[in-house]
Amino acid sequence: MILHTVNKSPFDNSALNDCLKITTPNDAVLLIENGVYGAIDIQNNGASHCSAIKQLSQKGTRFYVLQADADARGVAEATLQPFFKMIDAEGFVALAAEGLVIQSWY
Amino acid sequence: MDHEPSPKRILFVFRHAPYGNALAREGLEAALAYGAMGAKASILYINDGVWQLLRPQNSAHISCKNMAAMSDALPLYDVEETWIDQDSLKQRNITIADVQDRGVVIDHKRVQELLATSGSILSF
Repeated sequence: MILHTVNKSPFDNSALNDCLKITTPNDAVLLIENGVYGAIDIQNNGASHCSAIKQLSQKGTRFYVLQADADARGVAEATLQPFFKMIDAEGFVALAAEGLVIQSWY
Repeated sequence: MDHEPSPKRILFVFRHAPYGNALAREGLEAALAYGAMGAKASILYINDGVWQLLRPQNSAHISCKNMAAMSDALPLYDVEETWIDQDSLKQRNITIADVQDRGVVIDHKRVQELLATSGSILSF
């Protein structure tokens, strides 16, 4: 199991899309810092990251958002795609401990 | 606020999301400083800059100064002309109602006119 962290917005950086291309159903993806914008449900307004997330989630990939970064940016839990779970710093540590390796996408 | 861009104004173009890097905050501080000096400044929120408009922002747990509170100070410094790119809102599923008290939402063509008629542009 690999923990992927993405800290860039998908609207101005390819990090999230690059990550999703190689993520497997065994992995977990955690959005942090500006990456949290990638969790928002934008009703698929032409964005490939939303469909990739949906497909991966259906195969078993786990998706998380770091709460402190979402709160800072005014990203409300209600606006997220349903595949995402909010976690706190402790949750981050638990995911990191679970993983074989961590890949940071920036 | 009148809806025509004024020539000779400094236009601040905010293109980046808050908190992830220093750009949004530095742009805001520069705009406030301009206003404090009595210079005419306008702001255009476009691309990921429109994320700066989301409310409420609670930055306590990431140890950052609250940018939403800072931008609330803009009118106090006479920076009242703020424009918001409509296409950027749509792309991010942000409704006009979410942001309309923060500025005037304008279309692509008016964005082009705004850039073309500005005295100078500072991009953050």
